[in-house]
Amino acid sequence: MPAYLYCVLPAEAPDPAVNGIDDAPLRALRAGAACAWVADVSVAPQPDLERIRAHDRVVRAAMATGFTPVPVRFGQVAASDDDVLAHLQSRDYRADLERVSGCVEFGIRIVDPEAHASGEADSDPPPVPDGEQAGAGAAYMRTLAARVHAAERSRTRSLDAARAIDAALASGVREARVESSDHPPGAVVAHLVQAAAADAYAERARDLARGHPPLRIVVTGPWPPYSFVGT
Amino acid sequence: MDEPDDVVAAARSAPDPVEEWQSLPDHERLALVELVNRVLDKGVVVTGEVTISIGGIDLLFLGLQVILASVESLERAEHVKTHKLVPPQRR
Repeated sequence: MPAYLYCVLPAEAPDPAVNGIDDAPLRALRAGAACAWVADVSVAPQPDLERIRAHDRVVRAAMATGFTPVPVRFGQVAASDDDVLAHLQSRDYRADLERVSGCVEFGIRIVDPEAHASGEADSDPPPVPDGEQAGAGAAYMRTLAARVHAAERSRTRSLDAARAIDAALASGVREARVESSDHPPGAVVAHLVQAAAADAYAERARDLARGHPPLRIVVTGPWPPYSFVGT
Repeated sequence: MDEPDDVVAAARSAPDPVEEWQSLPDHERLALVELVNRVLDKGVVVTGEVTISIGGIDLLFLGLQVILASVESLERAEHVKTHKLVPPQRR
C-alpha cells in the first residue's frame, strides 16, 4: 500500500502518537540513521486547508518529541514501505537532520503598501488611449514602463530592508535565506534559529520590523524548519 | 460503506478556502498563508517529482492575494504568533 510521508527524524526518535491527514493512523519506518513518520494512503490526498493543517500538526508533533524533524512537502507518497526504506537508505539524512537539529524557523514577510496600491492595475493593461491623439502610443508605453519601474523600486526597497533586518538579527540565527518576492512585491526572510534563542529572537525581530516605514513587515513563527531542507 | 476509499475521499466536503479565509481575523489569516506556503512549497521532496495539483496552486495563489488584503489593514510591524510547537488547536 502507498505510504504518505510527513517528516524524517533521527532513528532514535519515538513512534508518532498523533493521527494524520483525514485522521489516518501514523507509524514509523526506520532505516539507517533515519526514521520516517508515514501513513497508509490509497491515493495522494488533494490539498485543502484542513489537510494542510493536519500535515503541519504531525510535523509539529514531531518537533515536540525533542528531536527536530526534516519536514516533507505536502503530498509526497511512496509506492510502498519498501520504497520508503530504500529512500531513507539512498538519501543520507544525517546531514539534513544535523542542519536543523535544535532549531525552529521564523519567517519575516516584507510588503510594500505602495506596490499594493498599484497592485490591482498590474495585471490589467492600462486603458488604451485614443489612437487619433498624437503621442497616444508613447503615453501608453510610458504608463507600462512606470508600472514596471514602480514594482522594481518596491522589490529593491523591500530587499534592502530584508538585508538590514537579517544583518541585525545574526545572534542565535544558524542560517538565513533572504529572497525577493514578486507576488506580492516585497521580500521574504527565513531564519533558522536555535530553539533556546527563539523568544529573544522573536522580540528583537518584532522591534526591528517597526523600523522600516512605510513597509509592512510581519514576523511569523516559530515554525518547523520547512525552509531549511533540501538544497 | 461499499464505495472505494478514493471516491469517499473525493466526495468529502472540504470547506471553501475563500470563505474560511475571510472568516479569520487578519493575524490568523496571515499565519495561515505562511503555513500554506511552507507546507505546499517547502519541505523535502521525496518522490523526485513535485506535483502540486490544481487545487494546491489555487491555494498558494489565493494565499498571496490574502497577504495583500490583510497586510493593508494590519498595524505596521505586527508580530503574528503562530501556535507554539505543539499541535495547534482551533479556537
